[in-house]
Amino acid sequence: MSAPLLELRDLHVRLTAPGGARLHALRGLDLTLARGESLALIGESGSGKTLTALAVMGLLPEGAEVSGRVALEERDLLALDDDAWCAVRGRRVAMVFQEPLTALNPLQRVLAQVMEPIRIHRLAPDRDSARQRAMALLARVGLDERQARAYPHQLSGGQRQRALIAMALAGEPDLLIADEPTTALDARLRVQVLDLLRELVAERGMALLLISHDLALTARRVDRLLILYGGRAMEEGRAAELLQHPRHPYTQALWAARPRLGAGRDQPLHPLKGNVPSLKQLGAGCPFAPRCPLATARCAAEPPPFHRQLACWEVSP
Amino acid sequence: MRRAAFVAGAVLTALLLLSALLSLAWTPWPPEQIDMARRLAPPSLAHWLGCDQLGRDVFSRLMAGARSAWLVGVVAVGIGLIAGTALGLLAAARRGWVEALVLRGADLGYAFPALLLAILLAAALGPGMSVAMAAIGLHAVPSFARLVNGSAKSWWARDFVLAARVAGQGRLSITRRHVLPQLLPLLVVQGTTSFALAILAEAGLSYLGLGTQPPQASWGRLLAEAQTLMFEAPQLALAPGVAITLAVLGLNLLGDGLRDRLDPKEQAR
Amino acid sequence: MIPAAMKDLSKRLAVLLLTLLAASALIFGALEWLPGNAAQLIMGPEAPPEAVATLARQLGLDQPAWHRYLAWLAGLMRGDMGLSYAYGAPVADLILERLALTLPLALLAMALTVVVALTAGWWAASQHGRAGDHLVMGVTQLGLAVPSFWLGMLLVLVFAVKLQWVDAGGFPGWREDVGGGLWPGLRALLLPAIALALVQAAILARIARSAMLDIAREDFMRSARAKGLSRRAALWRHGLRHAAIPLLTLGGLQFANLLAGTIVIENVFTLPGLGRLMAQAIANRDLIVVRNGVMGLAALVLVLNFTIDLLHGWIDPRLRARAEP
Repeated sequence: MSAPLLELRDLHVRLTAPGGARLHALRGLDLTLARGESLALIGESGSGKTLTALAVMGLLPEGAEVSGRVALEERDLLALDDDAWCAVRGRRVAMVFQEPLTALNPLQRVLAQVMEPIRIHRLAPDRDSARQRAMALLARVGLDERQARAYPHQLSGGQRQRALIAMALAGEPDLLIADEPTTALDARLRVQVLDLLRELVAERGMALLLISHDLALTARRVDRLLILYGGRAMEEGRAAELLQHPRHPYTQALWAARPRLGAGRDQPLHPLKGNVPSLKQLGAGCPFAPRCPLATARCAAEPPPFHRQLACWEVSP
Repeated sequence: MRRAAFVAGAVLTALLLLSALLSLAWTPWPPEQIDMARRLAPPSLAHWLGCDQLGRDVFSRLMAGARSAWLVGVVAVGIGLIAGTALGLLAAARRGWVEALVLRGADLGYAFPALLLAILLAAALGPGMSVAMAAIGLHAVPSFARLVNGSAKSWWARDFVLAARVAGQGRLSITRRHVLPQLLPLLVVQGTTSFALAILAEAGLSYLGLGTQPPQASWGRLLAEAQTLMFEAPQLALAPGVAITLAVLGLNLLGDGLRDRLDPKEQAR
Repeated sequence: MIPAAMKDLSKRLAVLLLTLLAASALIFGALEWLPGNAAQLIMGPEAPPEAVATLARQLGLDQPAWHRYLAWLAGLMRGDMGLSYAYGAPVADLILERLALTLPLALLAMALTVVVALTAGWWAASQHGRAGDHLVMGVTQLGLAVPSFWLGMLLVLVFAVKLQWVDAGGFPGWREDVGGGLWPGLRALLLPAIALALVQAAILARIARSAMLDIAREDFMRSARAKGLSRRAALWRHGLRHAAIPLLTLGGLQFANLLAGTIVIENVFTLPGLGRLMAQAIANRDLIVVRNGVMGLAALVLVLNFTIDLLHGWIDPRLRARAEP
């Protein structure tokens, strides 16, 4: 069994809120990803999924504390200094950010921004070849020359997102993290962009960590799923199996809540009861307990361990 | 750290004011007293900063210079503050073409630094301290006008002002009673900034001979005199420049500190 | 159809012309308030009345004010500024000759200012909270308080008097046939330009630093770091362009002060620029020179600010979008 490309073990992230309070945002996450594999990290806002991505990139905000193990090809990323990080970011692991308009420099043409990783990591001998590579990459994601030479505000949302993808791929990373790459787009475009991502990742034999809140959209487009809630993993598994037999009550509720095309007008939607708790509201015990139909007193008092890809007292793995 | 800066600024400014006031009654030596025997004497217990090329006590001349700086500063800032605030309040109260006119005028004013105005006035009236006061004061008007207009406008939009308008209060009354008092912290801060700029401008003008004329002492004049002796007595160029720098620095630090305390927006930073 | 860009440009030009007109009216008006007869003042109180009257006629003082104002404006458009009383030479020539020194000096100082300010601001931002940042803040605080002409004197003291690396002042001229040339001329302007630039850069460096700190929080800076750029490099490559915008705006506003500083510092380095001309004109009560000189300086400032406004569109492509269809 070859070593996994990415390995997260007991990852904890603690943040400092503006008022000074310490928030325990990520509470012991385990995750592995093999080369060429795709994993979707599913969670609602506040579940800690973006923080996971930032931790792997080393771009957590000021005042954040990380503990645990984050290893890329066996190499402990948390032990890296600034210079070493600069060699890793963009080259070994790259990220596609959520909001394409603000993630791009408004004063710089798209082509120049896509060229940058190529130049930084010296993947081309000179400017011209770098430019050609960037052009080719942009063409691959569906942007022609005129669009490549445009400024971000002159492109549509979907085009900008694709430019971001090209920019992330430019450094030829082994791992691509995509943080909600479709949230800012129309429903039509979402599927297109996701499929594009999948194609590109498969072409290059890269691993993909896809961060999303949309289980229905991502479910059938990745190899594995990991469901996150309140900073903890709830359930994990191969996508097909998980959807056929979701074990965790949260997974079941998420899956049941999805809007279905073709369902009649009077078919009710089944939203989850209650609201996502803020980090401050999380108590001891399972974070899902307040909204869980199976919750017991034990659930509220003690967090269930993540065992055999499931974290639940009431359901046997 | 910021607190220390504020205190330092307050202290420096107080020193400036004190030497200016004190010089009216007493200086270690009469600033104009010539004593060729002590020409270019080095610092000593009797003459703390030595003597200049005519044997005059440098320290006393610096104190007299502080007086000019303070006088010009007060009058100039006074002009800028009063005229600028009046225009700014008018523009905020009347809006429309009045505001447009005032703002355009302010834009035009930026093209005329104090020096240009001083050149004009000196050509018309002959150089002198009043020219410096008028030129620097006029130059300060656009800054005050814009600042007051901007701030007053936001106060006009507040609920309690709207209530007063609905109750039938006239614009002048509202301005006087509700808007103007809210602007006082802003005016104080801008006043210190303007004062600092005024001292710099006054130094430049009197250096060129357009401002304070002899026999009145002024730091700029002292520098002009020192320049003629650059090769012979370079040390004469130091003291007046340091005095100007310390005075301006003090006012700037004071202004920054006041802004931190008085502006609620800044406090959040 | 007139493209939107042309419409915008012509509107701005119209505003510029109106402002220039207003400035000219102000300048003319200021000198009109001369207490007493101008010719009298020039010639002195003991001059015989006939001589005064002759001079008055020569200066056109017997015409009504608005007539003289319009005549002046008409002359300006032809490039004719009248004759200097003191020199007897065309004022336009005098001014242009002096401007050939003052303007390059001001522009050189401005260029140096921008370079120093951007670099210092960038470095301070990248060292935010650490010693380097505090150093820059401290030095700029001092720079705000130092008079530029005194700094010039200090530089002369160090480099000319003590070290004797350069001359204490004077200007050889731009043309080689009069003993000057491009490089000798620039060398003579270097020290005054540095003195001016260091002081101006103080305020602009703070602005640049503040702008870059704001930019560092932006999302695209995070993208830049995600590509593998260090914080410093990201700030340099991406932040600089953004910081240039407020810097340019403020720099334009500061140009008037820079010009004033240039005139003062000309005295420190005995440079035969516009400042010298103005000082002599005041002493001689040569009102025509004063009037045209001040107008020229004001026009310089207004035109420069106009240019900077246009440059905004070049630097920030988002502003150009308005003009595009």
